[in-house]
Amino acid sequence: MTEQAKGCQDKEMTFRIMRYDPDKDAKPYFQQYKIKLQHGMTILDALMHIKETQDPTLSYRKSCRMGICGSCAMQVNGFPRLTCQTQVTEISTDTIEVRPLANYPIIRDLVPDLGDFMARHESILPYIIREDHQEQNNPTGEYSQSPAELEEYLQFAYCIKCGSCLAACPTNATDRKFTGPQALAAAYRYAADSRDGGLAARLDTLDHPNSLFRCHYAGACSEACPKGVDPSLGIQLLKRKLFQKKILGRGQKPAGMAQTPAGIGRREGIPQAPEKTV
Amino acid sequence: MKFPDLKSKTHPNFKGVPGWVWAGRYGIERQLYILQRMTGLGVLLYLLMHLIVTGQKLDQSSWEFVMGQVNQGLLPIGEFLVFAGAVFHALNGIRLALVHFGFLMRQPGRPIYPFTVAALGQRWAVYSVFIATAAIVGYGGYEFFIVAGH
Ligand code: SF4
Ligand code: FES
Repeated sequence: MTEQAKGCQDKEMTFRIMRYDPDKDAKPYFQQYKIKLQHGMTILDALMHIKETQDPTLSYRKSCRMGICGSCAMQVNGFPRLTCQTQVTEISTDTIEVRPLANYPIIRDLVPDLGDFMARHESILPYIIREDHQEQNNPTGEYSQSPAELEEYLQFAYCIKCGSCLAACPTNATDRKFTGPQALAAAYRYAADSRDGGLAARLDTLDHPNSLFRCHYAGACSEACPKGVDPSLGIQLLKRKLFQKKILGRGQKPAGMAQTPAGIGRREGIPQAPEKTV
Repeated sequence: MKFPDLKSKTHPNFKGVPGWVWAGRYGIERQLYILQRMTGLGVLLYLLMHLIVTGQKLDQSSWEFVMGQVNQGLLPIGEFLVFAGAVFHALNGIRLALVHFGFLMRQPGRPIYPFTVAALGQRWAVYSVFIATAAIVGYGGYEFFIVAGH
């Protein structure tokens, strides 16, 4: 353990946590807890420690504890963060304020209601759209895609739907119908996929006043995003795609099937893929 | 998939107008977002006042009286601020128009930790807006305050 880590060990920290019980409270309020800091403690560890040792009624959402599931995003000292990925020592104040993600209704304590958020994601048709339904449902091979084509959308596919970007977005703070950075970046993720042929249908889902052009590039979503998705970049590139499609009439033909190299057989000892179960 | 309707049991936690105005600990693009709005609203408000004042049917002496009034006290400084706001708004608007279609920014790539943001690619344009605004407003200030003596 480093000297600095030893210094942090057992330091007393105050957590100021927003509480709200819809059955009892007219509005949220803050409650304070004091805990002893332990080496390597994340904000989520601290919340779990409080729940285990001081207040079993404290509610929060978490699952993977390794920045994969996206369920533990909260406002830590006013900034949206994945609490399982944020060390307590990263926060330089002795009192740490934890609130539920901003711009989402609160279900209870630190648990936001992400229902609308998921519905917005669903609204942009977040899947590959093609006309060859028969091939999509019963694939005979792979669609071709080069590494360069993959990089056009890969970073936008890293989204874990944590919701931090909507908590950071100033447009979303006032416009409750705004499609939001996550869904717009997801729309770009599919629009930029060389295998997709659904640009027109996807742009149609965004053809309303609370959509693409409500983004005025504050860039806060990209700053808050813990996965490097950079949603504000996706949104601006989607505007470019819209311009190319609607004004210049430039579409995109979805990629065809990848050619299976001739004369190559399965190497000995490599088993066949299992039978399809669904 | 259908989500249960929880709305009646939840507390709306929208930041509203304060969350739109207050840029907090976010970066420079977020601060400029609100400055662009404020300068836009300021210029619009000035335009409305300007139209109201100049749209009046006044004879020469009344007109000179009104002009004398708007040249008094802090009003010339307010007028200069409108000029400064308009210059910033126009130059920053050019940057935004380019950025809105993905120009000036870093293009997508393989996300490798530590992650970066495309906005860094257009920071030079942000600083250019500051420098050009300072130069034009500085020259305007010289003409307005020193040469014209407001
Ligand atoms: S874009 Fe980033 S911040 Fe937004 S939901 Fe996806 S991972 Fe979270
Ligand atoms: S608990 Fe899964 S991302 Fe934090």
